[in-house]
Amino acid sequence: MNADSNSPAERQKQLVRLLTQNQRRIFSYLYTLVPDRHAAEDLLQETCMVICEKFDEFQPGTDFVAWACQIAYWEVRAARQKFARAKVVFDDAVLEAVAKTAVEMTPELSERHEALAKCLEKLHPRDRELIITRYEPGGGVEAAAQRTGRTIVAAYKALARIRKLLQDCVSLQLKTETAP
Amino acid sequence: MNLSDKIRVELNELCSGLVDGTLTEPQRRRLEQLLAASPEARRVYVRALSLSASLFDYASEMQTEAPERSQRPNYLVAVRPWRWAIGALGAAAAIALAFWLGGLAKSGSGGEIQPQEIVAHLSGAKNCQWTGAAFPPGAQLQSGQRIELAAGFAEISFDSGALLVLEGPASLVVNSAWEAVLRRGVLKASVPQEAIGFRVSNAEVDVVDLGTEFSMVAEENGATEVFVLRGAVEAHPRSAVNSPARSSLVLREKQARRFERNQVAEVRNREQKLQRFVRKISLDRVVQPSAFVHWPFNEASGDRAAADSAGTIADNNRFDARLASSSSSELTSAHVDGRWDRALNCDGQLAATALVPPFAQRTPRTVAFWIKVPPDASVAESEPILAWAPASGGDHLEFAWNRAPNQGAFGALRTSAGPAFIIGTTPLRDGQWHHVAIVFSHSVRGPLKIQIKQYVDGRLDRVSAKHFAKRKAKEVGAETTVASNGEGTLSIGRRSNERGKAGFRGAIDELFIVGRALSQREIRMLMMQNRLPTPDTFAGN
Repeated sequence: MNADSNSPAERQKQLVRLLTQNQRRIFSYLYTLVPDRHAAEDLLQETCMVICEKFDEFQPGTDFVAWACQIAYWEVRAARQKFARAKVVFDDAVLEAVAKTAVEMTPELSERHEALAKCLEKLHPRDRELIITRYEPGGGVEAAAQRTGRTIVAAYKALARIRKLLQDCVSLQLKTETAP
Repeated sequence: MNLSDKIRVELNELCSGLVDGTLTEPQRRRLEQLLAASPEARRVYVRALSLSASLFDYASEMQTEAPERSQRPNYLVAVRPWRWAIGALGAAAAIALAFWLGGLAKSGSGGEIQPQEIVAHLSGAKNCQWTGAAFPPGAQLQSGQRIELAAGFAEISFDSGALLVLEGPASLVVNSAWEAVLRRGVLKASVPQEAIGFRVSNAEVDVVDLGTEFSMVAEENGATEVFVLRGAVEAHPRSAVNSPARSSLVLREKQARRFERNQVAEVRNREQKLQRFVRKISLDRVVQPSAFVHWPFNEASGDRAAADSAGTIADNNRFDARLASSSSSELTSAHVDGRWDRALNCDGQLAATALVPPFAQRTPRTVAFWIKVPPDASVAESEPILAWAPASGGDHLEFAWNRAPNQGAFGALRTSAGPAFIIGTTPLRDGQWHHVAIVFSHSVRGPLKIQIKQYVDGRLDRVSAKHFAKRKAKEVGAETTVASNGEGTLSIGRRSNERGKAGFRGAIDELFIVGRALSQREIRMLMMQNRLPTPDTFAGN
């Protein structure tokens, strides 16, 4: 007979697997609501704590990401009260509308994330260096400007241009993949 | 309803501003208005922000070792890191999970990241009493490491060159070579020019150093005071996004501010408090003795380059290098003016060979030298500057300037360990002297792995963070014995066994191979004074 899938050990394994598979998606959702890396990471940690504590309530077979995002959403709301809006940029109505959109778009966003890897490889090395330095842990616009020998203003402009390039590349990639 | 192209462009600009933290209050309101009005605008917004979230993830992966997989070769190549499964962003979740699985329900707060690599060390201490883990002097500190000091003073040297003196009771998290989180307590930061941009943050404020000395006091309730002793810092209140006084502050010498619950205020008794931070603290330090071999290349002629050596491997003449040229010029151009006295000039034909110092294979070490590469050096003349062939087992090490622009910055320092490599960011091919230091240290990922840091002109230029796996010599855990005739051969300028192929063109000076991992301060000293520190070098700072 198979091991009971509801045994504590099995549930623990299941939790580890689900969290490992989906934490990037939860982070992405949080960052959409709280566009500050450190704040979003703090909230991810808080969210993961709550997910661990409430995992008994999760129904196996249902959508884990949607369930986790619901928890994440309430963490964002709680953070707003605690820190007086702190890094939460939008009012409640817009926050809710954006949150809903983000959850609905989860499958598309996963595809976009995958496609982005290919688009990053296609970037000119100089552009890739800039964008990676901007986003790597401990990096930032200043570091990226310094490392690639640009002024700060030029780096901001270049970053906006590269993001647009990547966004277009990702959209094209998905169109090509879904074309008959 | 479809958005017009104009609105799409505007939305993208607003999203870029939001992500980069440059959005003004009117722009924020405009963005909010667009998002409130249009579902399509919300989709554009979510795609834009998710792109940035993905970029954090991919960029983190470049900083993180790939998870061990049974089918992977035991080395990592930097070319295609995009597919790795777990990035540093997962660290927060991993920490939470560790708490939970360990039966601890308390949530940690703050943005700590999982220990991954060594980014700092404890360089000085005085009367330290530790609440958590105790750190002996010289202890290596990993990213994500938390330091709980009950009393006394602890000096932490970051690999970037930033130096923090922590005064207990205090709690600090070492996030990276460039960042720390002060949870509570008092710290004094000294940040040399090479480490400009070093950041100390907490829940109230982010302080970005602009080359200076500053102090920070984080109280139990979170309120934080920042004092600038010298130079300037940029302070970003954490609550700034929605507060009217949104912009960050630049604080200059003798200035101070208090950050508390969304408020930025003057500091009471500022002068008095400043006085306290100015006072020098005499710390106990440990400077490890250095075993090294040094080739100054000061000869004016001849086919030998004498080496001096010190420490456990000291041996007269044993490491002297022999010069040989495959051209008919017979070494006439091998000796030129250098950065310090004379230097070795490599013309693509010259090869100098020497014994590699017999350090035990898995001990940390540092290779440092001055280099001048002509701006017109061709790709055929890029390598190797140095090649290090071990006598038994282990990877060949090579140092060159990068000739493959698809792999990294063209002309930047490239260190290869077997088939794996890292490439720096500072182009060396400019006809100027540059000081480079490559530090090999133990990786936190296990005894068979090494972490490589590259410093250029005293600045931390690149950390491998790909934890190079050393090839298992014969069996797992077998320590390679130190052969009596050294570890193998060091070739300078050209691989000695390659005939008919051009080698490196450029000059090299003051080559040091040191039997331990040097800190940024020591590398800087080597660069400025051409000597290694002695036990009293940093006393009294």
